[in-house]
Amino acid sequence: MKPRVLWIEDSARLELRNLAAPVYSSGRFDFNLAENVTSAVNLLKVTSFDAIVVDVRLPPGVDPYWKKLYQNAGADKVNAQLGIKLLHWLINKDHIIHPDDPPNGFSANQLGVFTVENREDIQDELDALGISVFCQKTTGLPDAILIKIFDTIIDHKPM
Amino acid sequence: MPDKPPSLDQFEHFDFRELPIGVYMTSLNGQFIVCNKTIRRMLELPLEGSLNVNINDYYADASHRKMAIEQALKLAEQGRSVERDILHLKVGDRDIYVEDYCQIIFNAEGHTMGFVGCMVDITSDLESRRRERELRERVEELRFDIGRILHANNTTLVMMNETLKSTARVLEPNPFGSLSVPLSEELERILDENARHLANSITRFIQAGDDDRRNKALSEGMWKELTVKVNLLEHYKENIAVEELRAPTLGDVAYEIIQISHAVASGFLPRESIRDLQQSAFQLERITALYDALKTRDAVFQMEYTLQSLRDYVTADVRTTAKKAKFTVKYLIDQAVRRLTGFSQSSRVNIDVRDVPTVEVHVNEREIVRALGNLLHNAIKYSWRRDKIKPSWVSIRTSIKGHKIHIEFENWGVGISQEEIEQELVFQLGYRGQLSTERGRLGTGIGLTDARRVAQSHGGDVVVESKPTKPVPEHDPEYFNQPFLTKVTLYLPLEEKFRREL
Repeated sequence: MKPRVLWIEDSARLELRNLAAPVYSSGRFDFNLAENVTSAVNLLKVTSFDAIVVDVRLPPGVDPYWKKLYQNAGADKVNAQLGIKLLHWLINKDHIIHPDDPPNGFSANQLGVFTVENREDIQDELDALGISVFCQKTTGLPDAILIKIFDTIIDHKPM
Repeated sequence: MPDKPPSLDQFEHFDFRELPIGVYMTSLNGQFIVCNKTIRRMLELPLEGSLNVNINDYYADASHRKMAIEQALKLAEQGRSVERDILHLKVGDRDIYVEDYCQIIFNAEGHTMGFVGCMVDITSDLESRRRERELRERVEELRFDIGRILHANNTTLVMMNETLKSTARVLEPNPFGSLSVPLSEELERILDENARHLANSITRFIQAGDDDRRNKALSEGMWKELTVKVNLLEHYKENIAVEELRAPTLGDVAYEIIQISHAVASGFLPRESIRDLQQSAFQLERITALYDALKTRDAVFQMEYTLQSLRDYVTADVRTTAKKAKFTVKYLIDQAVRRLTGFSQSSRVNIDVRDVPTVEVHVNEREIVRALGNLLHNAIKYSWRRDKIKPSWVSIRTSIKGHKIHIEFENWGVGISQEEIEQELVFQLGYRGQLSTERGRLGTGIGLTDARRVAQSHGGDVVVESKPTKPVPEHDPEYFNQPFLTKVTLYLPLEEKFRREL
């Protein structure tokens, strides 16, 4: 059985399309994609994943609470950092972020962050969440970077 | 409440110590004779009791005291008093700035005896003004820098566009027929054909030669890998749910096959089968690379206009020399269309300009062309195809209502919610519509804001309408997945002559 993995990333279809391709072509993963927070939550409610990679700057999708958080941050993905809020909700069950109960059974070692932010800028958040797998999106990343991140999460190895 | 006004007697007996402004009297050498509570608070002195304090001890620079006295004496000779002289004082480690209003006190013989005056603490005002000035200077610097960086980025994008065009030529023959991004059915047909072709080549390659020769030619892992690839190529649509990721994935598969083909040890398998495998893999890799180049070129066109427009917006205040003049509406629309031709062709969106009346407007050409261009750019960017055969299109219609020309851009595609329209969120600087970033559309959230600002500065405005094309209730998750008919109208007052003729 292939490991089931999820990438929560709104730029996967266009700007980052070439990063997703090796995950499919390797044939090693049951690869899933969610392009906004609502879609990700809907997927997480019905499916369990071996590894989840989350972007920080995510759009909210149609859920009114995520939309409100987004709009309160000036409808700006950079300010809203919905990816971080989603992680807090999933791991810490923070009902201030969203009144619904998050899906059960999440732990920080199933999760990784793949973002344009510098590590230093979000290190406090990562520490608070207990997430150790982090990779910054920059030019010059190897083609198979996403596979490496998924492998790191699944094998519980440092990046 | 008593309605009787205070009496003069009350004024004469008013205790000046309670005034909310600093009041003082000093001797000629600066020794305080008296001062009220406001000054005592300002200088951190006891609020009650006698004082043995000299104002000189509070000057940040003692020489300023001498200059202030000379100035006061000079003004006194002219029958005037000191007004709004700003003194820099130091209380402990704290710098304070006060505005001083003072008058010299003379004795009966006309000799100077001391000073009486008022002081207002303006430290926070001065600080705010200083910060404001610094901020303004910083904004100016930034605007210059941003303008320069955007210009440099634009040049880079031009270079990228040319390089991508050359790359596309190198990758010919082009099965898509042009440098536009192919329609999805066209892409699917070509990918289907070439993926099947490669799968067949791999199968033939696997079947070539006996087990012994095959094992000597390639490792077991590589043969296994080839079998996996056949399955992926034959069922790529089921395996790759996200349509946009199919081409890059197939390109990646083709690349891996080429790598495997290079690892084949010579002399064990028929050369023709290796050549056939390589040719099929090269062909699929070439087509996916070509598609990749065309997609990226389309993104470059999109970003190029966005950056140009942003640069124009950021530096708009600097161009004070541009004056308004008379232009026909047709000329202005044509200029905007011309600017977007590359992007519309690359995105395969046709621009349909309908019956523009021969009227004129009195406008700043550059600003209005940019505003119209912003609206056209959005309409192209957020268009979906209306049917499987024809490319999508944007309609530009014009009409005269009252004394104004209405220029309407209509497209069929990504919607704007009523909430975003009613609350005017779409006009907020930097705001990007809830659905605007779906499908990887690039943007800055400036276009509509800028267009409205330009229209309003010409006595017009911009209005937005967006309606769903299917009767799906708004709470349904499918509501925003359907196409919307969006109309964005920029209107401007007609030039005087045409108004008179109406």
